[in-house]
Amino acid sequence: MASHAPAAASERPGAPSRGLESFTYDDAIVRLFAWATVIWGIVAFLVGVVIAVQLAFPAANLGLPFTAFGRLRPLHTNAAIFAFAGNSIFAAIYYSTQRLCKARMWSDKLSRLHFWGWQAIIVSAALTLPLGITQGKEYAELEWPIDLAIAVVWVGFFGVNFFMTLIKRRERHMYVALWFYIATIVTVAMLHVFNNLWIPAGLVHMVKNGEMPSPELVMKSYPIYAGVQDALMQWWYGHNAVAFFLTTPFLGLMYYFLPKAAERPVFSYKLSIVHFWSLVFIYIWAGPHHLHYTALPDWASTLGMVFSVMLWMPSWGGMINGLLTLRGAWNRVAADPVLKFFVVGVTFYGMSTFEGPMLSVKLVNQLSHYTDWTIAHVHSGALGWNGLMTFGMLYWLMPRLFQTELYSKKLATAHFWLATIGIALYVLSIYAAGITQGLMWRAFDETGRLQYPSFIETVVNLIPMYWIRAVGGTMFLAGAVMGLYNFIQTWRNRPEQYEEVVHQAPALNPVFEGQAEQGGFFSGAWHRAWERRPVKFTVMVLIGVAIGGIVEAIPMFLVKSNVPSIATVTPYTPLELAGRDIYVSEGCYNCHSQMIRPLYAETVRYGEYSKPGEFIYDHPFQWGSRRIGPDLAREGVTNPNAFWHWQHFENPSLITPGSIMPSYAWMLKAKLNFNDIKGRVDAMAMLGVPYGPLVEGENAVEHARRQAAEIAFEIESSGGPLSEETQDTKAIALIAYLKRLGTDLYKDPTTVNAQNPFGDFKSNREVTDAHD
Amino acid sequence: MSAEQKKDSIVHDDLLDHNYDGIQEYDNPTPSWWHMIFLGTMLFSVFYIVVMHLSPITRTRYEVLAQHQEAALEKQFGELRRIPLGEEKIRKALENEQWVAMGATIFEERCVLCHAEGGRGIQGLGLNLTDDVYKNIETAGDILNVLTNGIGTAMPSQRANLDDNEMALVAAYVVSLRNTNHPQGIPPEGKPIPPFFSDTPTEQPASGG
Repeated sequence: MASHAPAAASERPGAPSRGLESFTYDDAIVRLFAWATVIWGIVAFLVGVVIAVQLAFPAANLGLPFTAFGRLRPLHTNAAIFAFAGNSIFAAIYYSTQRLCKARMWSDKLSRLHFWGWQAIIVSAALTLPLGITQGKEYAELEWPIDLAIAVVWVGFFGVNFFMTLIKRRERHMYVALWFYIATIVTVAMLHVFNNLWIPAGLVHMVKNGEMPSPELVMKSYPIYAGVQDALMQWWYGHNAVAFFLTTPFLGLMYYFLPKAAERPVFSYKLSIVHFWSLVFIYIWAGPHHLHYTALPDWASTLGMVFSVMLWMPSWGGMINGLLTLRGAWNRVAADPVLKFFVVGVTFYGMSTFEGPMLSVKLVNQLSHYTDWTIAHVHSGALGWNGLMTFGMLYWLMPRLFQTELYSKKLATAHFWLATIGIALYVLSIYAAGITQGLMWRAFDETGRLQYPSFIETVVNLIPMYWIRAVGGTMFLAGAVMGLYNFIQTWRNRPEQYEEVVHQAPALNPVFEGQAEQGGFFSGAWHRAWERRPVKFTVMVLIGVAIGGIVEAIPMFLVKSNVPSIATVTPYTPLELAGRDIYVSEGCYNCHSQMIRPLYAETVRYGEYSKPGEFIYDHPFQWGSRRIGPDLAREGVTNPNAFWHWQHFENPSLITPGSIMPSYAWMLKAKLNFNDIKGRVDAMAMLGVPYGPLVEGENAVEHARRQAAEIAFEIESSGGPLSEETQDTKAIALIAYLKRLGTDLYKDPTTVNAQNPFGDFKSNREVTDAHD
Repeated sequence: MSAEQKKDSIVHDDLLDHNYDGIQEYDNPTPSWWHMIFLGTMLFSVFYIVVMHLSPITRTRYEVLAQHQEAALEKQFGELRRIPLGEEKIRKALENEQWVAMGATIFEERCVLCHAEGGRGIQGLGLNLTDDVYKNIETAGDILNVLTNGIGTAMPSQRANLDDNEMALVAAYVVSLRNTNHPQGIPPEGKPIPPFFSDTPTEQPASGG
């Protein structure tokens, strides 16, 4: 092929010529991923619009368990990330890798397994999340059986197929897009595995009690980490899901499709090298910036912050290389919708990667954390960068995949403008909402008291902005629907039979026969050599991405001073544990934090700041990331009234006029499965939670029933319904948990036995025996 | 910067011999401002760690919080802070309209969940505090007991929520609510009690004469 110009690093002209091999590319798999991208994209945007409307108009929660915001929000984020962006990067990778390697994907069968396996995972997510089956960790909500499926599909199908294609390639050097794909595959695998180490409660129940667990319990798992450590692992994962699922593969996408569409050489190979390695090395450290001023030790928080600040230029390296590649092609941007999408997409990347480091500075984060500012930030990334890059790619790709002209360029341009204006409306209104609420939370009047002491005042203020956001999101959705129509029409113009182009290239000699490059470190010659060795390259990437996580995680697990223990902190009672699992299942963490930061405005509003030692039994941690409603870390101290909670669940806006919380009236009727509690307690005991005698026989169930009866009686005596009607409901368990929240700190250490807190528990049987 | 280095940082648009599916690459240098800012962020990071974690002037976030708390207490309560919790403290709070207003604000933050706005009460949750009968207290000082210890499961202790000053202010506000008879008040419950402060020696003319 003409691409092998004689030069330092190409094959020596005099080398024995190897036979030309003929091959075709598998575009059918790219067509599948491309369609899946558009369709899941529309689903993700639609759910986004629905939950946006729910915030402005809470009746849209419909009062049903599976349509409440707390359950749908994870569906939206998972669909946007793993279904829309996921299929998009697979389309990009399958199309470009074959061409960059001059090789068909190694196995058509693995390609299909990957495609259908991934779609099955998406469908299972769409079914389980509305059913409240969740791990309660953001963007890692999918429960353990789906986790296993993800690992198999990602590593076993996708990873093996990709790396075997690299090994069997016919192009000597790996282009920068492939570097980014490599980083994506190995890092996402690492993040996924280490953030999803759990114990399935159903299995424990089956083994220990010899009973068939309920379907609910079968799907339930507890992470092996708790509290501070779980938080660190989760945001190491969460932040790097952004890094290695939404950034590196999209940079790879950009490096292939943008120069292709612009028909211009990439601005700087050197910049590619420097920004690639600095990006993958630095990104992985940045996770703790999601936990500023929390119970996470300050040193980890500082590492998260400074590495985020240092991440600014590595990120901008990608933007510069993208935008400067368009030098000399700007006149075409005006005419070509593909380039329009790319230019604005890359610009949004630049904006959000400036904003990210800024938000990670602790002082800025004091204001922005828990507000909509973060939501605006991620949407400028997700809609602006991931969304526009995806649609730019699709408008370039679809006519090529269907071997015809794009049905309507005008419609594509209209999609571009609709999407861009939609993003602007979305982002600007939510910036305003975030900053407004952040300032209101910390505003003091002239007497030195909170100016808006009641949380609801800071909520009702945002409703107009929420409406504008919903309009912006609807515009983005409408653009995507126009895209779908355009693609369908393009597809209808496809030829009877796709022409299958046969390409030819010589096979690579396993030994590099060319001349190795000369030059010092800054010449990049060493890197050119790495580009010839995919396995070595992958190992170096793996080392690069592992360091940050290891340095942050190991001390957090091993050094005791990071989580000083508190003598009065004891495990949740069986009923509280069941209630906590409901809290997790309903996705309460999507709107309520459980983390009071040591900032005066916060301790005044919510009470004593949260201590690391308070969370040692929290599997998983539930600190949350957004306060759509108030913090609940000290709910048991400030608002332990069971009847209040009972009525509040029934109709929140009756108790708090203006409340946007959905009604949970169904929970006042839903029965709690007490038998499951055994499995829950046993699984927690396996994780080292000191449940003492409660793991024996029916003790846990009995303990739970007694506590439930007490709370039900409290409600009855406050004028609520009869305790017989309430004591076996889910609401009672959840109330038990809420009454417990944050109270341990105030207990008398002389009356608490933290080592064996349930040691004095006597089951009814024992009590009867004693009487005999 | 030597002439050689200067040459290195100029965009020449020299094409490399790279060609991947038709994509070519220039041998352009990384922009020098990119290097400068990258280096700047590294220096900032070192500086930040040294100043915030290793220097003697460093204050932890908890020290900063304590300082803010102290300043806020002084601003809000001034001389009231120095009177121990008791009826005297309530009386002092009542002298100042602003303090009673603060008591009202605290009430709005902590008490309206059950006692409703203006203390009119919610059937089954909280008593009407605007009438002339009381269920759990006989003197103003008893209000402090109720706040400190709660009443069984009917009312939670506020010990963890309010400091001594805040308790006195809320108590002062509750004292001020007596006989205001909120139009939407729930029916009275309890028994009549003597006027507040009637049995303690005070400087009030009524008992001082």
